[in-house]
Amino acid sequence: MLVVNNLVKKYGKKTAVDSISFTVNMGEIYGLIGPNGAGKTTTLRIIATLLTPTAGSVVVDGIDVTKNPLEVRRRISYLPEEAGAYPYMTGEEYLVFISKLYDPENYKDIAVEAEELSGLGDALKEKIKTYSKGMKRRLQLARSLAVKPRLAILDEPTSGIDVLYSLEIREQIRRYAKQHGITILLSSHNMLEVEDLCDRVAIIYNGKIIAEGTVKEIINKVSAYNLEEAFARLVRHAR
Amino acid sequence: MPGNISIFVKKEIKDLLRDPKILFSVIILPALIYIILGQAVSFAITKVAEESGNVSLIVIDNDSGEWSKYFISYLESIGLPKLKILSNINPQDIISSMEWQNDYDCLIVIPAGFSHNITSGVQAKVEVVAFVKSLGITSLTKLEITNKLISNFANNIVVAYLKSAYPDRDIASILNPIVQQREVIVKNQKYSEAFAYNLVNQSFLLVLGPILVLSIVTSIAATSMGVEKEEKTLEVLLSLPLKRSDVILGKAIATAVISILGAISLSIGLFSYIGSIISAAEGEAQLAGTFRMLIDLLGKASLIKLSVGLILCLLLGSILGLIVASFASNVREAQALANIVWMPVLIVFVMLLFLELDAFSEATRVLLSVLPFSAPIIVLKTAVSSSTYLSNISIVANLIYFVIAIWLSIKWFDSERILTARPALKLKRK
Repeated sequence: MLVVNNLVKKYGKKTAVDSISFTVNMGEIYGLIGPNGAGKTTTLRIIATLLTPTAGSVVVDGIDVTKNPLEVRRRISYLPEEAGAYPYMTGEEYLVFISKLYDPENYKDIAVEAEELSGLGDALKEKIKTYSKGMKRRLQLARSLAVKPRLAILDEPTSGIDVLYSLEIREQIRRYAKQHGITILLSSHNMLEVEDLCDRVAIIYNGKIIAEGTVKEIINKVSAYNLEEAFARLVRHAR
Repeated sequence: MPGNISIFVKKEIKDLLRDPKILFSVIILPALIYIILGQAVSFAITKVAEESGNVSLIVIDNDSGEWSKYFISYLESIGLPKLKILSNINPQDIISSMEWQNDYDCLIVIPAGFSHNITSGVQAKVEVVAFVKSLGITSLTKLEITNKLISNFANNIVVAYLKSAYPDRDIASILNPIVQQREVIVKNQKYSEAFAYNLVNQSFLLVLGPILVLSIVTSIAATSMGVEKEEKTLEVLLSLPLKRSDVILGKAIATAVISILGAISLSIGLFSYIGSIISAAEGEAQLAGTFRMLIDLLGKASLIKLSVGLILCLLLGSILGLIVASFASNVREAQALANIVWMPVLIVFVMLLFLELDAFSEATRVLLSVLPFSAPIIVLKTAVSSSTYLSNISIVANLIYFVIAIWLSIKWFDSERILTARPALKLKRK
């Protein structure tokens, strides 16, 4: 579903992503983890057609992101780490608007599904400007999954959401990936979340992938107790 | 409109109209402010008109002759609310007295020798002093009224002389031996001079309209883009299955629609304002009638061209507003940057507003016609002349600018810098 091959992204003299390669299979949940400034968001933005790679290639569902970005955008949904929504629309209107763009014929069904997924209930009738950060995040996550993309790119999906709802969201992500064959690429600082959710993980540091595999494989590789410890050891070793 | 762009346009219009800043400042305020202003000015004009007949005069008759008595009788016959006749008094005593100044508006001093001068055929003089009680725009109206009273009396003297000298002649034909019958031809149609003046004045309003609409469009476009940055919605928007051209055109169309709504509101306000003034000043509103005739005079072709030119300029202004506002990180910065677009537009408009195209060579006229944003004014300026081809040139030129602006904006929105662009003014340190 997603093939990232020798991807390089430079901002002037600074190399944000340094020749990384990984593949994500259909229906798989793949996690990108790494410290701040490691190049996770840059990688996700390139896959979401927002940034142009300096070198290398990214192919989503057989389509090169630089050659046909619109076709790629039709197949993906992207949830940025800091995603806002239009303050003067209601939550319901926002979900209808997004659903229409993805499927003008069946948008009502998608919007209803997104409303249920958001768990916002009557608050969906309120304007988004009245929402808390957590409510906005729930709205964004709901629209990202309900449109049933081939690939959902989720940058810190549970950022700003309380523990209980985070658990619920993880369950929803897992369910959507399984039921609808949606491939998920996510980044997170929450190791517990990644450990719980991801089929495979890549640890990215200084723009390079320093480890890749299933959570178990990574933990075993450095003889750690859990992913958090494995992550810390790998990053320290890479410094 | 194709599917996704129409969905986006509807969303943009709804979102913009719900923004209280836009709703109030673009739609409600323009109508409201001019309607209130019109009522206030109308009230002021009515008051001034009412007060203008109420001039209160002190007349010092230091002549006590035949003609000074006639003059005083004339003033008494008018029925002024307050008229004080004094004689053989030093005018300085009145001028230096605050009491007199508070009670009266003007002082007329008839000096000794006034009657003698008139009967001898020598110019007679009177001294008129106005007591200004405030520094308002109507503070010297009383002086004007007094001046009119004296002129009327002087005219009566001339008529009296002429009547005694030429008892068999028509005095009016002596006073005005040549009568002009003035008419104005516009586009092969004959109009009275007064009507032509009205037409010219109202065509100025037609020119003013596009200026106001364009000032609104750049500001709304900037707000629309500023909100995307401020609310962090741009990243999501650009990752949605929308062409970049759909995003830009969608925003431009929605902005133009809101601007036109703003212009309608502004026009309602302006017409109400002008209507109030005319009603107050002339006793009846002729505005709508004259305006309708102006529209007839311009003709269908010019009106279509005017609409096309205006829409092109609106879309062009909107797209340029979006581009410059994309450098901002919030609405306030975006609106400040929008002035970068608006100021050159204003310069073009003001320049074209005061230039007479016919005074220039052919090459210069073509050059002026191809200026960006010139189309609406060029169409209006050439609507009643034989140079209508200039309006076609102007529309084509502005269409080209619009296409270039679309192309540039697609390139810009396609580039990754749209997400991080900031207005940079870097000063190198030594």
